[in-house]
Amino acid sequence: MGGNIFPTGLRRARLQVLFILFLIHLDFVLLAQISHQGNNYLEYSIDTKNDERYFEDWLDFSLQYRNWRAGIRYEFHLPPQPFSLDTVGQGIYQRFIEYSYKNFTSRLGNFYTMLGRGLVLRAFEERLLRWDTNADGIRLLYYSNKFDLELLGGRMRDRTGVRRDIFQASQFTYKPFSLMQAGGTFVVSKFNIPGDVYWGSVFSMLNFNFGDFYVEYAGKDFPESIPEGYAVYLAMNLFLGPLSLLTEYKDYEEYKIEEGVTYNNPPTAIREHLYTLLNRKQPEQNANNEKGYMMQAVYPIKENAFLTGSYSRTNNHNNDLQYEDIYFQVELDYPAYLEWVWAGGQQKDLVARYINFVNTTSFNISDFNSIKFQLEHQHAKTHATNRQYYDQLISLSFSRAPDWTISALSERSTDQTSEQEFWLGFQLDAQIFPNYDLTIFAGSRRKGKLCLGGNCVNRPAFEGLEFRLVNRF
Amino acid sequence: MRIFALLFFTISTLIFAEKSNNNIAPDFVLPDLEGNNYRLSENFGKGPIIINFWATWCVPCREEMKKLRKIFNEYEKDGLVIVAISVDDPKTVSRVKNFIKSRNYPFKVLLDTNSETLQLYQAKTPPYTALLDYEGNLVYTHSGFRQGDEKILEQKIIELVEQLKKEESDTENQK
Repeated sequence: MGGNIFPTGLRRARLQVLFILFLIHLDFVLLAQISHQGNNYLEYSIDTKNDERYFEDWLDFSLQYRNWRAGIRYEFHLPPQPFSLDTVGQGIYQRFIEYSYKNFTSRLGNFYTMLGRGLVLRAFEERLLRWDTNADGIRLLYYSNKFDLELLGGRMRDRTGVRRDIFQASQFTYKPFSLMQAGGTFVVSKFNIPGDVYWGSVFSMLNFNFGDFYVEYAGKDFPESIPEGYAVYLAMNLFLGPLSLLTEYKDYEEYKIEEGVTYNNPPTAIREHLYTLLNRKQPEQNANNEKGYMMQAVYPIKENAFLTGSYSRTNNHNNDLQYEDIYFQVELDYPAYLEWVWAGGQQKDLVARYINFVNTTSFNISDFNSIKFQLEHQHAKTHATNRQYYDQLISLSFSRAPDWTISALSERSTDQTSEQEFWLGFQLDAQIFPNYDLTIFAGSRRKGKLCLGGNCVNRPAFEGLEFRLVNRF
Repeated sequence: MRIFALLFFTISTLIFAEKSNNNIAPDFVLPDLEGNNYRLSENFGKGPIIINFWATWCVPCREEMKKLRKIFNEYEKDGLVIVAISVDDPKTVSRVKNFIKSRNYPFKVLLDTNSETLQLYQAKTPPYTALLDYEGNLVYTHSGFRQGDEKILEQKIIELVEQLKKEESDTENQK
């Protein structure tokens, strides 16, 4: 055993060459089987009024090799937009490795998830709101025809980027018949304050040709210092011939699970408006004290014409009205080159009553060219002083598929408390190369609330230049 | 020995490199409106597949879906399948079925409430459309929707259908 186990001289050189060749070979073999996906989302704004610059970027890149997938997200916020709670910084914000085999998937690292309908747990990203509550930990999923099982644990991120207490969660869904599913969710965490907490839900779903029904009841077991709470959510669809009816009901009492991090995100059961002025008046969800319902009916008059009507109402547990929304909409494609939408209704919140009207007209000039005109009008009357004013938003755009759209966007307000009366902006959306989408906005934009799914941010007024580049590779 | 080793490495590398020419669409499992799981890869080989990411709150998605219906009616006979993946969040997931049924869309509708599959396809927001050939290879992707985009998509489908017909015709001739 006295020989040198390390080769020397010529033999070592030969082995080194063979080893390098082997690595090259391995590299090619792996490269041939590895697929990659990536995308980049970049935003750069120059606010000329406040002399501020905002520069943010999200780069996602992942590699897949057979059943394995690994990815990272590199972000920078130098600095973030003023409505964002992200801190100034850059680096790798997410990374994961995932293994999938048949009906089983496991992931280590960052992930998003939702249990039930989000009453007990929802980790999600909404970039328009700069909302990202991804979890960092482990997630195991198993699917089958009879049951689904999800086990997870880790730390969720708050909106400033800090991860706090560890949680463990599970969801089991049993599917005894094709028409029925039932299951439960369970979460446990040891918060620093107030201490050990448990919360969870049971749910059931029925599916028929003529409709469906979903119900979920959630409860929590917090230490005595925190009030008892519950959440109930029901949704029902009914299809009566051509008529479609949807009803949603909510009752949330002390059920905002928030210990630095917002863990849950129950359904709002109000109409989510697509139009800017109507969206601004939507309420922020208060899962600690609200109950209400939404009813919606859709009726196709013809294949090219639809009527929609909806009513939603939210009260607190003292039966004080928090929000009411009456809405109707007519969609018509006639003649073939024209598409119309007329909408109107009334919203009422704690501040005022708003009467709304919307008209959208799309004119298809040719196979690839079209013009779109949109008018939104909102008349407000405040409860306290009966003060009245209106806001009006007009946009006109010309599109040439698949390359570009150019739009003019203007808003006018007679609200005496508004900082200015008129805003005007121009926007270009262009596909500059395949998989490269560029948006440039120049001009001014009014401040306002933006709400998605009951989560809202107040975006400040803007005047200047904005660039957004999204590419996939 | 060294020549043999080099030859082995070179040939095997070329064989593996040849395999890299395909571009199989990322596989996923998602629940449909009835709560049953749908795996994309189990549907390869039946016809071209359009994967369309949409949401009930997305205005251009609604415009695009009207055009997709026309495309589906035209090419259903060629095995075309449209998988419409809703990225609605839990607030609006009950409204998906209502939207689809009220408009009688003949698509396979799936729910991607965490937008994980949307991210798997490297898309950020709906609408996002991917076209898969008969073998499940990604042949075309498009983000957003403008009036006329459907003409380009339709042209790609025609190319796939004609390519398959040509291959079938060649196979017949060889027999």
